[in-house]
Amino acid sequence: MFKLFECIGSFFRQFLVYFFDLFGLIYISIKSTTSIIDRNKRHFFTMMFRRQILKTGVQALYINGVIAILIGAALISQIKGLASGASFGEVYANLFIILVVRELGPLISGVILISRSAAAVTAEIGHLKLSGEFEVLRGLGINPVYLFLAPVFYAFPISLITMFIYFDVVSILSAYIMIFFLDPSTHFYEFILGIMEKITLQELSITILKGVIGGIFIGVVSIYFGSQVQNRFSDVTKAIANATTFQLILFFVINVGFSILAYRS
Amino acid sequence: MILSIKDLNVQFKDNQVFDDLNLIVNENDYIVIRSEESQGATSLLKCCMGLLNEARGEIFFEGIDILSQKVEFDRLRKLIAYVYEYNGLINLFTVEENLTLQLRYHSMLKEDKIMQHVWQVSEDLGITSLLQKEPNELSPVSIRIVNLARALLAQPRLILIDRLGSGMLPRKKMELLAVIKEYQLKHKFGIIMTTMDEKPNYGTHVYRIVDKRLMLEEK
Repeated sequence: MFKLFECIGSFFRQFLVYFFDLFGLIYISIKSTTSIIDRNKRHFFTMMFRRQILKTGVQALYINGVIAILIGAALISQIKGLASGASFGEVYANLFIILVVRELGPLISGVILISRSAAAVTAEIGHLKLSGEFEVLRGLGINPVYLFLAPVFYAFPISLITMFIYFDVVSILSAYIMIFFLDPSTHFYEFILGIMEKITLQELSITILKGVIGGIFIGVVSIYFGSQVQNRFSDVTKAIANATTFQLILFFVINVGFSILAYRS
Repeated sequence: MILSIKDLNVQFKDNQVFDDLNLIVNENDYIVIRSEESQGATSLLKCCMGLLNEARGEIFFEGIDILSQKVEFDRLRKLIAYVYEYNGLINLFTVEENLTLQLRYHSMLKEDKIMQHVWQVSEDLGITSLLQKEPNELSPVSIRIVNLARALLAQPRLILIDRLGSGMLPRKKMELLAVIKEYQLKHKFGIIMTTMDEKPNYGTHVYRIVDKRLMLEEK
């Protein structure tokens, strides 16, 4: 019985340590924003920021696009039976808002970001730590976390929101193509208008909030676990596994939490 | 006096590397430390940089207590530069970016001035053709020369050089030592260099690591 309490206590203590460390890193990231103002330091920030945007926001678009096409097509094939009396466009507009904009878009984009880009960042930071490059940076009087954290802190939310938008657009287009084959009388303009009418300012705000907060936490968790690597290669794989698990749990909690709070009525 | 080491003890688990080691470095001193493999020469340099947690004793650099937890590392890094024997470069950046990194972070120099300095030092060390390369494209000897270039660019008060000549052709090594001497005369800094050479014919003082302490050798 005592062992059980000890396990639960240790789990919560570890969880609290993670959270305090993560908030500490977020604080450092915000504080390091001053390095963007400094002309000399901005060079490296811009370079690393562009690199992160390219890797997370641009190079991940094709996989995001492929999944969006499949989701759009799957959604239409599923609602075919539901559209008795109403047009495909009308039914799809309702389902699209609930399923794609509110839930699937953010979740799938987040999962792609975590599995593709965040894992790469964790591995990269872990490798830098393993090969002694953190020590080199400290020897140069540069905080390694400072150098790598700020670009990730800003690039990940921007990339995630870009992925949300891209996912929604591609899935609408793929859905329209499916609808066109099933019901050629549906006009593209009416179809788009039907969806646009359903998107409220609240939907947009919540989606952007999910992107900003989710993106920040995914990036910070990658840096945190990457910098925990000690001197064994297995530490890198362990860091990637731990970071991915933590990011998935955190991202789903953020998404579901926001959806419950915002759409409970 | 720019650096004083008093009663330095370093112990890694059961392995005691230094036992009450002492050393004093004055401005313009060129200290050469002769050692064999695993005698702790690299550890001594890392202690001087404050990079070794296992160090006990006193190390003062121009009044700054290096082993103190409260030491202002940012200030210290501008004053001491380290030339690594292995690696020492950031693999995500090109050679040029590695060379400009410290200047961009710690100096108020304008971009054209930074590049002018980089070109000058690169030319003196014969590495201009390497500037656009990435560290993984370089040989270990070239990496060490780039490390040296970065240290000279920082214009510190003390340069710690770890076995610069390992695996280097004798002629190249003599050329580099001449460049180091020239920069030292111009910018007035102290040097601590470790070597495995049997009879180093350079440096103002030559020490040897004997029984976990430094012993001055006659030149």
